[in-house]
Amino acid sequence: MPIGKFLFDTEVFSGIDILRGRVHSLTQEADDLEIIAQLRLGKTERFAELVRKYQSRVRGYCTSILSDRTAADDAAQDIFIKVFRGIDKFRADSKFSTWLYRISVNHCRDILRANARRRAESWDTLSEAERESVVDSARRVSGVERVEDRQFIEQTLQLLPAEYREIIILRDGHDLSYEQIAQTLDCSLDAVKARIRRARAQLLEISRHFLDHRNVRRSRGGS
Amino acid sequence: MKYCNEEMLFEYAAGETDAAGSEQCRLHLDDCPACRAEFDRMVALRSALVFKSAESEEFVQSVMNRVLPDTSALHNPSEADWDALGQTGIWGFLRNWSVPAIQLIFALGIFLLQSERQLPVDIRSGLIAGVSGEFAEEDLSDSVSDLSEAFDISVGDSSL
Repeated sequence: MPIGKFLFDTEVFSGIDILRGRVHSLTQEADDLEIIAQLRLGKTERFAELVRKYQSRVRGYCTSILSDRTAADDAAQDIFIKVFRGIDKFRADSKFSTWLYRISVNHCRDILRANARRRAESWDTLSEAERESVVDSARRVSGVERVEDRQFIEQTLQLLPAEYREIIILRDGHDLSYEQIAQTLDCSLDAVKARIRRARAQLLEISRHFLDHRNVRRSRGGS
Repeated sequence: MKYCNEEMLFEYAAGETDAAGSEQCRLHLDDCPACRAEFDRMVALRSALVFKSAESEEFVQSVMNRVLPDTSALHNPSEADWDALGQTGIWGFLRNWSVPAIQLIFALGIFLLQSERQLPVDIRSGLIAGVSGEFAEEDLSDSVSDLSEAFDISVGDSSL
């Protein structure tokens, strides 16, 4: 057997990739800890490196949770300020990124809680006009193209309960491991697994609802 | 055809199934167009969940502008910080030399005190008077010669 085929067949290559990924991850963590140590000694200008490194993830998370880019950027700024002010509280018992996600999750929860006083949060409490607006948006394109549409996915996410939304974004959107999610949300691994299962089922149900609605409209239009 | 439920398909789409589970899903999807369509939708849905925000230097600057004025209020030096500071510069010098310097001054003070107590009373009062300039130079000569004797020092008259 050629050595190349042997390597592919025995998944040695994938093992090497995993190992390389872990080394990269450890290097990243070491870099973060070094920057944090410098920050604690008063070299505040090095905070820019952390912001530069994690801004995409934090802003992305806030956008997916809040569905408003301006509000998300404001929230992301506030999150980084909280991180800066609380850097002495980081004990390195988890990854810095996990700690950062925890702050992000809590901050977005606070914002959602404040918003909840002003507007309806779930499908059941949406007004008829709002429901029609969401369905209209879902109607424009179809199938796989439809679910790739940004507005569609944002609106679909908004119909998920907040706890499902945040966990599905962390797992499927930001690729956090189950362990990291458990640390971020401060709950057990079993709770994380169960919640992810329910969140995915509900996400599929909502997206299917839109697509079925489209099919019904199309068949009515056809007949 | 092996059966795959929706939950398993989503796990397969997320790369969470083990080797056996992956094989089961793959075989099922090859034979089931309905599940294949559902699976494609899951993959698309999952990839759409990745919200990417373009990296922005403007954002970094906005954060830093808010952070930097805060710096003095933020930084409460810990014990480790003081330790680090004490290793260098003027603080390091003071930290290293203050204790020996205080010990030296203290020892010198005790030595002077002891020496002064060993002198006879008239010499002591003469010394004090000499320092204060109360007596004329000729009045001091006796006291000085007594003092020389006390310390066993030979001093010529001309030098006085």
